[in-house]
Amino acid sequence: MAQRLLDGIAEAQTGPSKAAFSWRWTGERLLPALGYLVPTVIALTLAGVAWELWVRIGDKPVYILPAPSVVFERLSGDLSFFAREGATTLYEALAGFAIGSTVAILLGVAMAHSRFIEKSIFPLAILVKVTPIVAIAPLLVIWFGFGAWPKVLIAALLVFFPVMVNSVVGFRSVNPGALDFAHSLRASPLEIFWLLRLPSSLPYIFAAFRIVIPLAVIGAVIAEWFSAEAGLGSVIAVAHSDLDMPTLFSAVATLAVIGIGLTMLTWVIERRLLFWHESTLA
Amino acid sequence: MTDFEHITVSVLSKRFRSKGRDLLVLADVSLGVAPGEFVSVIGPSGCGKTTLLRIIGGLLDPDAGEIMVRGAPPRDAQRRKDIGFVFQDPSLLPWRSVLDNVRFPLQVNRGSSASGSRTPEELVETVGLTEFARYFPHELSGGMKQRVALARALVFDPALLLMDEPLGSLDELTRQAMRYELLKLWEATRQTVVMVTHSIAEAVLLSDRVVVMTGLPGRINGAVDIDLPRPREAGIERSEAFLDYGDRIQRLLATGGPVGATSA
Repeated sequence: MAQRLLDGIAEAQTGPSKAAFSWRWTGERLLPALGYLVPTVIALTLAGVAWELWVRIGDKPVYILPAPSVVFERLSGDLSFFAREGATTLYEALAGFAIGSTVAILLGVAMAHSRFIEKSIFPLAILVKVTPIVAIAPLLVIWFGFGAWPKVLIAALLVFFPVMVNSVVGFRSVNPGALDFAHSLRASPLEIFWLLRLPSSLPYIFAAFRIVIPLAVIGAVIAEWFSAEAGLGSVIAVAHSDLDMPTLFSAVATLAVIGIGLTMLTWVIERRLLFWHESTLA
Repeated sequence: MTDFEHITVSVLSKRFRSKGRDLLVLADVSLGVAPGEFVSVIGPSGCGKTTLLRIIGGLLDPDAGEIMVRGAPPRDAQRRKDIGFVFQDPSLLPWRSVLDNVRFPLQVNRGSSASGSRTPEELVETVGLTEFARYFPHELSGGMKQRVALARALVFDPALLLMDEPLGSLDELTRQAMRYELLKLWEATRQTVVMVTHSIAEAVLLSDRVVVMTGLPGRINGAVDIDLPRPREAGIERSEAFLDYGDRIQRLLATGGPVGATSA
């Protein structure tokens, strides 16, 4: 759903644009965006109505499947609770994203410059990647306690690998002619990094961000599941054991809102920063 | 040619090793270029023309032989900002506007005292892109991009302009128009130029001298001095003398081994 919505806005954005100078929601952009929004809203409403009817006509017990109206009632009746728990999860996910991608990008810089470093780090990185998070989550709780740290670390672990792989490719994918030109001026490696490698890597790094941001949220939720007093993951775990389905569904809906919000935010930043790249121009 | 030579290349050799094969690309190449001379290097595909240009520009080291650019090895010439490169691919930075692409060289080695006589704004004007100064590469045509690349190469007033098939990526019509633009631009500045090309017409139109290379390993098979009067005007391609120079180059190419892609 979120993807459809984004595609719709992306479609609306590409018009007769003057790239860098345009960030206006003029009528000609807004209308096509609405053109995509309206079918989405209609489809969602129909699905909700069908769900509601299915529950009411079939007389499903609330501990199996709550009707959307019941979920909505629970969610709106205790909005501050879900907002507070959601904020905890969001904070853990963002901190994990920040730590994981910073480490990944720094290592990516080193690996892009040295095959030796690349060969030494890569096997370790793969080890981190293939280890099931569910297996090490309890371990991290033992090491780091019940606070935010194990959640942040698990989110960071999930974020790390895709960002590292893409940043290595990104830092290496400088136009060879531009690199030759810089060499013909005796540009220093540092100048080549700032002026050429870093900007060239951004499309790759943002492609990774789009993948890992939902992963960071998933990581935080999984970690909360194991050990938390706070956060949507613990809300879900507790609701699950109480068979409190309206609360569980409300927590899931809150997570969906967080996921969509973060994805759209990334997308907006990416469009602004990468106005020059094929992915944005197409 | 004057007695003081701007570039001297003496008995240069270069081999590439890859996958266990040892390929001699350039064999005993010697070449002198006088200040203000426009020299074209023409030869079959893969004959080492580009390699020669890269060695002169200090992007590659030779295995044997010596190159001097204004009395110093290419690396020193680079440091003095004596070398301006234009490649077949314009190689602009897509995230920078036309003007910022032309400013790029000034942001490299800020510590050095090198500077050109013309500002980036003036260079953008020289190549006729003032109206497009704030445009980005993806908004420009191929010919316009290559003009930006040319302006970028001229920022430091390099003593030596090296061009590797500068018009090679353009369509035929743009290419013909750009030939004359390049001619006009050069006749105004008279910078020393070494240009690699596949086009005989381009070489004759622009050059003072055309150096013809053989197929692998690349050797110099001969040179033709082009004594056409300057400034050269449109229509000169149809003159008797022009066609005659073209024939002589063609014959030199024919005696130099397999001729690859030569477009007249």
